Amino acid sequence: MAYNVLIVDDSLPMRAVVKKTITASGFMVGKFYDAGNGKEALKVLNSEWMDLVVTDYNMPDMNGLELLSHMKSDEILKTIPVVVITTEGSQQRLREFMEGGAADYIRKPFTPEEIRNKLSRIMGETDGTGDTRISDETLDF
Amino acid sequence: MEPEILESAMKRSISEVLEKMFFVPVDFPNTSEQHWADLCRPRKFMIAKLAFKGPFAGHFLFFLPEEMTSSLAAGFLGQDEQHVTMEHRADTVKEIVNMIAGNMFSILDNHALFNLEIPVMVEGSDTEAAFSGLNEGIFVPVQTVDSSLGLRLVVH
Repeated sequence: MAYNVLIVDDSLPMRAVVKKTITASGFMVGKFYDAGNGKEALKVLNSEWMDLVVTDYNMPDMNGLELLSHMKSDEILKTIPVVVITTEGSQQRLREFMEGGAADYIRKPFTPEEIRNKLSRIMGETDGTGDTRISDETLDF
Repeated sequence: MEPEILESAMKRSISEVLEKMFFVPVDFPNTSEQHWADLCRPRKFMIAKLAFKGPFAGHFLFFLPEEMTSSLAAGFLGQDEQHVTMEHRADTVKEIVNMIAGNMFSILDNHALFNLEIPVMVEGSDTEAAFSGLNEGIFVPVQTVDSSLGLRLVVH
């Protein structure tokens, strides 16, 4: 099965890095889609079928957490796994991602291996219910 | 917070980001800010600014030589340097300071919540002003194999 993946980041170089890393990881990617912020992402999601969303947190206009909130309030979009890529390492922020419904998060700077392992687990564990969260236990609440 | 603790976290974060994401080994020369500035002034720099708020507030200024931004952006994009635009370079510089800042705060205290603003490029007359404020805050000069760069942290 080939997955359609939406990369959301206001930085074009970072979108390129994420695409390169996912491609190199051996994922069967059907097609990559791009968006520069959450608002653009929602437009793409409302017109294209997507299997996975990988989004930055800190973006202008609509950040990753706000995008997540919009998706989780939509009957169709809420089933799509969302991975948040972030520079932020505070436990409070990471908890916000997971409680907001993120399937997982990836901290920047990241290695290709970290991205590969996370996405493999998420796509392997997706059961169609949208309940793909796997990082809660790693947080020190 | 003690300046020594902040400086140590800055260095560790710079190392982790540049070595992990860009495969650029770094060293931290024991040089004065003025000496660093004298060495760097003839070169053209791109400077990104990132403001933050949290348990304390302030901003970072990240100084990167133009020629280095080209190779770093090319590596990020997976393209030849000749295809790299100024916008790509600026995006790369902004992304680096964003990663360094977020990573540094995580190193300092991963229970503290800092809000990072969107990074911006320092341009025009503000560039010279950024250099002229070299004695402000904490400055970390960074040496790579063939470049000198720097990171300033100003706590308001």
